[in-house]
Amino acid sequence: MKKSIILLLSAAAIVALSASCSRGYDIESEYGVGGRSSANSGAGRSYMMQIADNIVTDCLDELEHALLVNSRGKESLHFDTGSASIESVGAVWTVIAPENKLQGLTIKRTSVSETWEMHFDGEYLFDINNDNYYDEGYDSSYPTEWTITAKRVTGSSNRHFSWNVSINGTRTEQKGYSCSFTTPSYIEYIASTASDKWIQLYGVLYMTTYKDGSPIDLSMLEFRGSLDKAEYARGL
Amino acid sequence: MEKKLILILAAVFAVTAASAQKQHEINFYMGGEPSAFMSVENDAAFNYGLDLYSIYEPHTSISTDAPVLSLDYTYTFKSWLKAGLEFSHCSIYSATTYRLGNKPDVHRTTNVFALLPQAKFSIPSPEHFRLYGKVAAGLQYNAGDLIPGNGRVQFAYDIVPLGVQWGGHFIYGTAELCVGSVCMGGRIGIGINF
Repeated sequence: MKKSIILLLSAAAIVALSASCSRGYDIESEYGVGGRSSANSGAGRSYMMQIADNIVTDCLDELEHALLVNSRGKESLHFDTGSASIESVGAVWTVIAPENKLQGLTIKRTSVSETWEMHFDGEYLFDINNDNYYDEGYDSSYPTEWTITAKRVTGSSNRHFSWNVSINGTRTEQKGYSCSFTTPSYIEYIASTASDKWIQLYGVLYMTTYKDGSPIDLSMLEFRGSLDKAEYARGL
Repeated sequence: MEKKLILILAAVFAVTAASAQKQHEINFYMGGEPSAFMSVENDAAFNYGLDLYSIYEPHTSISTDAPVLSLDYTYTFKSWLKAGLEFSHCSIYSATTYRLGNKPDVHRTTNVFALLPQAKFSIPSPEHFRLYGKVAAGLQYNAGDLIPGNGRVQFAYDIVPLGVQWGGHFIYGTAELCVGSVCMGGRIGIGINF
């Protein structure tokens, strides 16, 4: 009886071991997954949206702030004005406010009518408020450089101006990744009369992604009105 | 190689069990966290961030859905001392996903096998609620590269500072705390005495 039990248990052990073994290990099994395209493209779309909806709007905020300060006198703790009107051709104002996200941003009035050029070169934080993010320790602040040309459009709302914006810039991240972004023409930022600053966007933004200096992807964000109507495409 | 090793381990187990002539004990346990899994660095949180690396690089998450499974045999030498062998197995899984493009997910498994000679010490206690401690030390084989030591046989140990058996003398339940390189945490099981 005892021997039978022992033999039975031994046999069971061998069967269990064989079963474990037959599962294999280090097998790379691939599963086709459908319907992931929207989730996948979400990350790239969110990234490009940072350029259009954060970099540009932050700069337009500063530009409109400068115009407001300028209209009420030249004294400012927020800008180094150089004692020049920001409406004067060639005038350069610099954001000097401590702890400001865009400290060091220069705003220059160009010779083109109603047009300003803004340049920034420094660490810039992409907002982490996106659906894919869940770790509070995440930090996406990387060296970013850009030049924005913004032309004020007549017929602005009471609260904000509408702008035609073009941007050229680069961002250098870790693990050999970097990107450049540009607008082939300009993006229209239509001012809102409501609490939103710019409620409608029209235009195209391109972004090239590099790995160790070599381009690996070209993506595009085309704005057709409200932000949720922006069309994202990659692998161009 | 690993199949041979497994067959040898099974043969050792069978011979040990068959040669016993006095009081024998066979237990099956499940539970605890595979210690190998706890040593794995899991960068899932980082990879879902909004930077180019996290967007373009594949994201690998490592998990272990199954508990450590253990089967042991002990032979009673003294009323307070038993000795035998413990065999344990656990699996660690990884899923690699790509956030961009249409690359399919890649799933991989690493199996960990351990054979540990063990000594079990009975602690004076009521007849139907028997307390014990265990020390086991032996070898572990990692089949897969999700954890360090792929394909290598290495030292392994498990220590049970406190365990309890309750029930009859033929079939009983067990629960024990385990600390070691194979299993961490609590595990429960069932055993027979004959």
